[in-house]
This record gives sequence, C-alpha cells and structure tokens, in this order.
Amino acid sequence: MTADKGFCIVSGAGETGLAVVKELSDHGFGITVIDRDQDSLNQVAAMSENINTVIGNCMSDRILKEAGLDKAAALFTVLPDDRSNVFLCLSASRINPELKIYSIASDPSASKKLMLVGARRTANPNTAEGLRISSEILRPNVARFLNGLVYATDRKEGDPGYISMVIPEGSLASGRTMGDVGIHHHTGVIVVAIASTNDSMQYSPTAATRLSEGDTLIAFGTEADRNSVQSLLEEKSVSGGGSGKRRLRLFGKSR
Amino acid sequence: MWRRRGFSGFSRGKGLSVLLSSKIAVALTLLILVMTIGLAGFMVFTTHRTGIVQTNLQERLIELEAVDSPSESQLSEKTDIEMELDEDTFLGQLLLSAYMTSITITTVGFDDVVRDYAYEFMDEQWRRAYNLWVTLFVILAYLVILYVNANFVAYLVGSRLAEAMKRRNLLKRIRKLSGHYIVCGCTGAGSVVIREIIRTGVPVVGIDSEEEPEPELHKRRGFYFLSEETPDEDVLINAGIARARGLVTVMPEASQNLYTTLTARLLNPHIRIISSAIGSESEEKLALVGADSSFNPAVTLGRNLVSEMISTETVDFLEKLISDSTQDCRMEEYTINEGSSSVGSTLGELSLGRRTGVRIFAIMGSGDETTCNPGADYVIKAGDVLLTIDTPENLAKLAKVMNRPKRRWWR
Repeated sequence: MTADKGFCIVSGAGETGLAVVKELSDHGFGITVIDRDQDSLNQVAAMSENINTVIGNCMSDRILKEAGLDKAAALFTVLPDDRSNVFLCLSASRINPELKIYSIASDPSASKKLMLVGARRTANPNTAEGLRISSEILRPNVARFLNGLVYATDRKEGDPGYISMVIPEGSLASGRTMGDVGIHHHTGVIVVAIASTNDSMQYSPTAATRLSEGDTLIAFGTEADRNSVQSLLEEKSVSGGGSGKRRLRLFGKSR
Repeated sequence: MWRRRGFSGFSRGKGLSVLLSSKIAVALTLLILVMTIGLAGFMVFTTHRTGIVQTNLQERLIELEAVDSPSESQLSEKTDIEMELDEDTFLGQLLLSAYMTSITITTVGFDDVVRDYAYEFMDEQWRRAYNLWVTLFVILAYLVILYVNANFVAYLVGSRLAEAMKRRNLLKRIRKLSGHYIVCGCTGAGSVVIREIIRTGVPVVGIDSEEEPEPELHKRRGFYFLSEETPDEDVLINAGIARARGLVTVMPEASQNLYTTLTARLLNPHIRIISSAIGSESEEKLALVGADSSFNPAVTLGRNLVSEMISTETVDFLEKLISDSTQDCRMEEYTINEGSSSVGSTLGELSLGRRTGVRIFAIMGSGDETTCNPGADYVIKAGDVLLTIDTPENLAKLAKVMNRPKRRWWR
C-alpha cells in the first residue's frame, strides 16, 4: 500500500506537523519528517514504524535530497513562519517539479506567493479553525449528517451515503443541461454539486447548468441510486438497445 | 494578556488622580493665575479711583460744612456724603474688580463698565496706564481661555466620560438581543467565526482584551464588541448569556477557554458551547466542564491540508463544503418548528424549488432516520431538519415561506 501511494515529506514537526503526520499515517502513507529538533523527531517516530526522520535544516537542498525529495509524491510545509514556507516551497519545486506541495499560510498574501512558487494548495490556520467552528455552531445537524452518513464506519449495505458519478466520454449528457438530462426526474436523485475537470466546484446546480465530459456529479444516496444515475449518464447513442424509447423521452427536448 | 479587571467602565479610571495629572490641571491652574492677576490689576485702579472719589467727597463735605445756614437739599447731601465716606470701601473695590476681571476673561465685556471707568475722575497718566493694563490683560486672558477651552473640549470628546457613555449605550443595545451568539476572542479564528455568523444574519457579541475590534469587523452590522480583559461571569451576563443561542471560545490559551466554558455552562445550562481545544487532551477536559464540542486547531489544519491527498473525493469535497472560504454556498440546515404552518404538508405541495430556488437533498427526522433525496410525497413533520446547499439569502427566503400562515379554503 505504501509503495503505490508514494511517500510524503513533512517539514516541521510542530503541533500541525504532528497532526498532518497522524492523518497521513492513518491512511497508510510512507512519511519522512524533517526537523531541526531531535526531541520532536523522537516524538514523531514513536507514532508509527512507517515514519522516517531526517534531522537538519530543511532550508538546505542537501537535507531535502537526503529526505528523498526527488522521489517523493508530496511535501507538506508546516513551518511557523510564512517566509520559510515560501522559501522551502520554491527550493522543493526546483528539485522536483512533479511534487505536490501543500503549505500553511498565515497571511492571505503569503498564500498567493506560495501558489506562485509551486504550492498546490494552501491552508490558513485561522480560516480553517474559524470555518470549522462556525459550521459546528451554526449547523450542528449538518455536522451530524456528515458524521452519520459519510465518516461512519459501521454503515450497512444499502445505507445512504456520499455518491459520485462521472460523465463518461461520449455520453449523451455531455453538452446538455441538467434539466434536459433530467436526473432528478428519472432517478429522484438530487445532485448537490458538480466538480468539473478544471478543479472548480459548482454547488446546487440548477436546471440550466450545462454538463460536460469528465464532470463529477456529487449527491447523497444509496448504491442503487448511484447505479441508476450512472447508467443514465452512460447512455451513448440513440441507436440500438431496448431502451431506445426511454432515451428518446429523456433527451426529447434537445432533438 | 487577559488580566483581571473590574467590570464597571467607571472603576477603570483613577478618578481624581487622572484629573490632577492631566492637562486639565494645568489649564485650571492657569485660569486661577490669570484671575488673580486680573483681580490684583483692577484692584490697583479701583483703589486709586476710590481715593480720588473720596478726596472729592471730603472737599465737598468741607464746603458744605462752611455754609452757615444750609438748605434742605444741602443737608441731605451732607448726610449722604457722610454715610458714603463711612462705608467700608475695600469690599466694594474687590467686588468691582472681580466683576471686571470676569467680564474681561470671558470676553463678555459689557460696553460701559470697563471702558468708561477710567474717564471719570482719573487724570491722563492713570488713564493711559489703565488702557495699557486692560489691553495686556485681555490678550493674556484670551490666550489662557483658549488653552483652557481646548483642553476641556478634548477632555469631553476623547475622554473616559464619552467612553463610559458609549459603553452604557452598548450594554443597553446588547440587553435587547436574544438568540444571538457570543464569541470570546475576536482575533484570528475568532474573526472568521464572527464573519461567518454575521453572514447568516444573526447578531454576535464579541469579547476580547483588545481596545478595538479588528478593522474588518469594525462597524459590521449585527456585531457588538465588548472590550474586557477576561470573560468573567459578569461580563458574560452583560453579553446576554441567558438569552444567547451559543457561545464560542477561541482564545489563544487553553486555560482561558476551559475557564470560560465552565463559567458559561454554569450560567446557562442550555446554551451550545463550542471551544477551541489547544494542546493534547484539551478536548476531554472541555467536554468535562460542559463544552458541546471542541476542535483542536492543529488537527483541523492538518486535516484540511491532507484532505486532498487522502481520500481523493469524499473527504475533500466535504472539507471544501465546510471550509471553502471562496464559495458563498454552504451546507445549511433548516429546522421545522412545532407550530410551523408547513407541518403536515408534502414537499410537492410546498414546491420549495419553484418558490425559493432551494433544493432539499436530505431530511433528518427528529429520531435518527435520515431520508436522502426526499420525493414530492414526503410529509413534513415537526422537528424535521431540511438540508440543502445554498446561500444565506436563499435560506432566508426558505424560512419566510415555511413560516407563512396556512391558507385555508374558506378565506
């Protein structure tokens, strides 16, 4: 498992670094942690045997190479100071341009700079915490819903949950609007969001929202719901098959 | 940072000592000094003039006494003069000097008194001296009054007096709130929480040790800022904890959050309390003192960073749904109250999609059952929670539709 997922480098074994390491190791990633402080590294190493540690200054390219940056899949820069993160981000993306870099940014302007020097995604500590807490206090049932349906481990077969459907190549749905395809009309499933291929996310799509190939439709429902939506999306051409009549009805508007 | 401090706005000032150490003290001293100078100056001239007047009177008296058989009027004039000469002139002079000083200092300057005073009885030399004195004194008095006024105005405008009045006003407005949220700690994560809550149109009382809230929160509608060193019992009472819907503590130290959670729980057993749990084991301790839920900021941040890397979609999508600051939409909920007009109607009858644009993708019953993708035939029950992903504006529309009184056929 570790081998095919690739391994991640976490630079900075502070509190956030530890949280990142824990989350990654729970999901079976191999991890190398870089820090200047031997005590923190010992603490990290005690968490799991899948964790390697490298002691030294992560600002030096030699240490980064020693940690195996050129072969790593991802780098997490969680240093307390934005400037160090930007510097690290820049030197890491020079060594390994393929690397996915995730960084913390205490300042919105630092976030822009980090993205500029090769970070894939940045997270602001205050925003992350603030949004999480406000979500909890304003929408306690949403949290309950998500915990119950999505994160729960004891889900039975046929229980509803998070489902996602991809619009396959050559699908008749591609290029048509949500209203024309009639997902809700035919399957009863309500699409809550569409993730398009360019990484943007549209929430609560309307009947006028246009679909295209490769879009991921996100909804909540059972596996049966997922299959019925997916089969609707997979219809490719009008010719052949016993379901031709149904298809004609489905895409009647666009003909 | 959160030192203990008394509650009342007035107890903060040090009363008299503040007064004495300030510029007000200097102003007052100058005022007294210039009054003394004025009094002394005018006394010189009034004494001189009284001297002349008395000499004149005495001369007239001698004249009158020289008359052998005085007439009626001459006799009465004589008694008048005798009485006038017997009077204690010093008090009169002092009062006159004070009067002149005051009308000069205050720049009232009744036309007659000061100017005309010198032109009777005084000779040329004394008149010049008098005019010179009044001119110099008026300039001096004017400068001093300018200084004194400026300081008094500054004192009234920028002072603790104004602050105390502002505070009283603020507390009065907070007293009218209910169903609001209290946020302890208005910097960093706190400011994000406050903005998120205000977005939904619910008022927030923020408590922080800063003198002023962050500029971006300043003057936001529905935001009330209490500057307090520490959110103690009386501070929370002032923030209206008895009527508040929820309390969030996101202060920088674990002990502050713990103490505030405990205080709040004791003051209001029903309020929803969410706390930031800093350090390990904080979450358990917070639960012990009555927090409904708590989050470790480091773990939250770590999850946020890692979410894209691990389960590519589900968690990432949900993380984004909860914490995407660039999007206006959030997963929102709407609870059906006991007396709502929509109880007993089907979703089809309500046709929410057409009327509000809101699409309900799941409904959580008051029990544990959850219906995903509810159909048009779903019958709404009291206590149901409708879930949707939408903007606060559309959700407000939803609330309006749901609370509309039921239309009866006979109306």
